[in-house]
Formats: sequence, structure tokens, C-alpha cells
Amino acid sequence: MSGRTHNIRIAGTDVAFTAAEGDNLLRAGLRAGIGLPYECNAGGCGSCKFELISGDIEERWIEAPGLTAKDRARGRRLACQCRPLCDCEIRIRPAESFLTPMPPLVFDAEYVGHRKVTADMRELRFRGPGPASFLPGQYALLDVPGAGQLRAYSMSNLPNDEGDWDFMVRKVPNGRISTMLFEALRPGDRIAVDGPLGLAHWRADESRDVVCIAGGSGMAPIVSIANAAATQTSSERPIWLFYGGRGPADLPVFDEWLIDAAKVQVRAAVSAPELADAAAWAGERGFVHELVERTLGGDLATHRYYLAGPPPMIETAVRMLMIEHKVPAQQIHYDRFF
Amino acid sequence: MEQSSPSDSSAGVRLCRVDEVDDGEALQVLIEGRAPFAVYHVGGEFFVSDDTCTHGEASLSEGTVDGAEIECPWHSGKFCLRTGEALNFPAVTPIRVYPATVRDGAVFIPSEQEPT
Repeated sequence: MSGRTHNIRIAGTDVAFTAAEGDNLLRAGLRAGIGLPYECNAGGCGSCKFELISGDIEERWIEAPGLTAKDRARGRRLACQCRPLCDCEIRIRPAESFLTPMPPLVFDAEYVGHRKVTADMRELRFRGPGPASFLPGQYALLDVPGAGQLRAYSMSNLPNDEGDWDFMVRKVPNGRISTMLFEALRPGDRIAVDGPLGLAHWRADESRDVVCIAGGSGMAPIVSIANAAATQTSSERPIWLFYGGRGPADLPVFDEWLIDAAKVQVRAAVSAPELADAAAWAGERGFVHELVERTLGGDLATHRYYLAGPPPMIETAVRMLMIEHKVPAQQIHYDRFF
Repeated sequence: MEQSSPSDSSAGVRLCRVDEVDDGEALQVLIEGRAPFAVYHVGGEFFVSDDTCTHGEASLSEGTVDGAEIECPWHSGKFCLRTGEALNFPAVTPIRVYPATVRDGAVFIPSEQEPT
């Protein structure tokens, strides 16, 4: 980015902010303390739709799934996929609720090393230049060389003065990004990080039972939240961690990741019978939302829920919680990457 | 935004004039003592629902009217304006809808409707 800036005005309001040349429209707004609506930052959710009234922008991912053909016909675009090229006026509806205490920053981080989580999942550690300031449950965007797109990964650790940002990455067979992160990355390599971002963060003023539900690399934000709940409050309320995998090999060894394992009640289930049988799995079977319902019983509407994982898992669990158990939306937290 | 006072109960609750809502648009209407309403105009037909989305806190009147559907401006959840049904994730629970009638150039809903 050069020293040039663009002035971005929000139509129908007196709100304006300055975007550095080359910066992303959505995150420039968030950096300036303007609560532009968003969830995923990855073109998937459609929450950051806006209309360009005047000015000129560059759209990075024209076919992003967060926009329908009708949206495009109406001239809508995704702020997370656009960079302003000059002063612009846009139509979008900002709100305070989209701001978190630490605005996102772009910084260079050095790859330090990894730990194994499961057979196909690793935790990668990057060290930034200053303290790692974020809320448990938030994510950051990694500019993985050769990816072409920024990739969102949630932090699995807690905020810290050392500047460590830990992310969990699942290896996708022949996946370009995970292959790069698993095989090409060497300690000392530097990549650009933009964060923290995300609204599905730990609520510290907790007076409810905390129920964490995860699958796959959703382990990262969920273990961060469970650790925050166990170490940052004096509350004696139960903390639950539910985890679903296809087979037993997909389940992390939770005690290795929980700071105070005695405070967190972990329940895991596997959903693929053939994998369970092959490993002579004696534990819970079925989908994780079923396990939650079966285990908690009673009034599910009194708890607070944090979810992270594959979209079908999140959608099924949220539907169960809201429709069958009347859990208010305000007590269910997840970042929708779909 | 339209501000109205509670009207004569026998006539129903008057929400707004029909010409205050352009075709394909929606209007938020605030009535004392009631949760905000959204009035929608779809090709000459008028629909009324609660204005606050059941998923987040967004105002549906600021969303996109698409036929007899409203898309929430923040999270793209859609609701059917005829039934209130939540049509796609993350909209999960239905929005409350009200039977709207047009009389003397204004949109009315029944004065008292028990929650369904």
C-alpha cells in the first residue's frame, strides 16, 4: 500500500472513512471503526453486500457465492471482495454490533512450527510483531502464497503477549492451500495476516452454561473459547465441548489442547459406522447435534452456544436448537462461512 | 419511517398510506406500544410483518423485496411474506405476518391479533 488514501462515504448518512490505497473496502471500514456488516470475509455469506453509488472499485472475485444473480443484476457487490480505486460513495447499513474491541490490522507473521492435532489436521504457529490481541473464537485472514485468495482460519490459542497466532488447518487431498501449508512452508517463512475478525467470539460476561459444538477444523475456535471459559472466569457453570468426526481418527486428544481439562466436559461422537466398526469404537455414535440433545437434556434454551465446523453440521445444529428447543438467536454464536 | 398512533379498534390499525410504499419496496411503521412493523408493496398487493428479523436484529424493511419474499439486509435470510415461513438459512424461525387490507388509500391490519 502506498501513502494514498480514498475517502469512502456512506450514502444517506454522515459516516465516512478513509481507505488506504489497495486496502479492502470492508476491512478498511472496520479498521476505521465503522461497523460495516460482515461475517465470513471470504465471499461466502453475503452479509457485506453494498451498492456503489459513485466512484470506482476493483472486484477481486466476481463469481463469489455470497451474491446471487439477482444481487448482481441489482448492482450489488461484496465489500469483502472489493478495493476502492478512488473516492467512493456506497450504500450499506453499518451497526456497532459488527465492531470488536481490536480492529483488524495487516501484519507480517513468521511461521514458527506445527503440532499434530489428528492424522489430517495440524496446528500451525505464526509469530507477529506485537502482542496477539484478539477475542477467543475470532479468525484471521492468511495470505497464503499461491492461493489467490485470502483464507480465513480461526485462532486456536488465547490472546498473548508473545505475539503467537495459532491456526488449525485440515489437509485436503490435493488441496493447493493445505499442501502449501503442510509441505512447502518452512520455519522462518513470512506471510501476511489480516485480523482479528469475526463475531462468534467468547462472551466474557457469562452467566450461562457454555456449550461448544465443533467438527473438523472448527476445533480451533472452539478450543480457544473452551479455554477462555475455563480460565478467564470464576464462574462454576458447566463448560461443555461436543465434537463430531466421521471416524475415530478424526477426534483430537482433547486433554492435549485444554488448559484446564478438569473444567471442561468433553463428549465426542463419530458418524460413519464403517469407520467406527473398523476401529472397534466403543464411544458415542451419530451426529454431534444428536449427541448434544441426548447429553444435555432438560431446558436447552438456557445455555449459550458456540459452533464451528462444516456448514451442514452448523446448519443442522442451529435448526435443532432454534426450532426444537427455542434457543434465542442471541445465545447462538457462529461465523457463517456459507 | 412512518409514525402512527393507535387508531379506532373497530377500523383496525392504520399503518400508512399506500402511496408511501413504492412497488417493490418496504416501509418501517412504528405504532405506539407495538413492535415495529414492515409494510411491503408487491405489484399492487400489500403485506405486513414484524420488522425485526427473527435471526438477528436487522430491520426487514431495509431488506430486498423479491416477489412475495423479503430478504434480510444483513444475513440474506429470506421469509415468505404470505406465511412468514423462513425460507433459507440462517433464517430458521418464521417471522410473524399480519393480514393486510387496503381501505381509503391506506394499509390496515386487524386491531388485535393474538400471537399465533
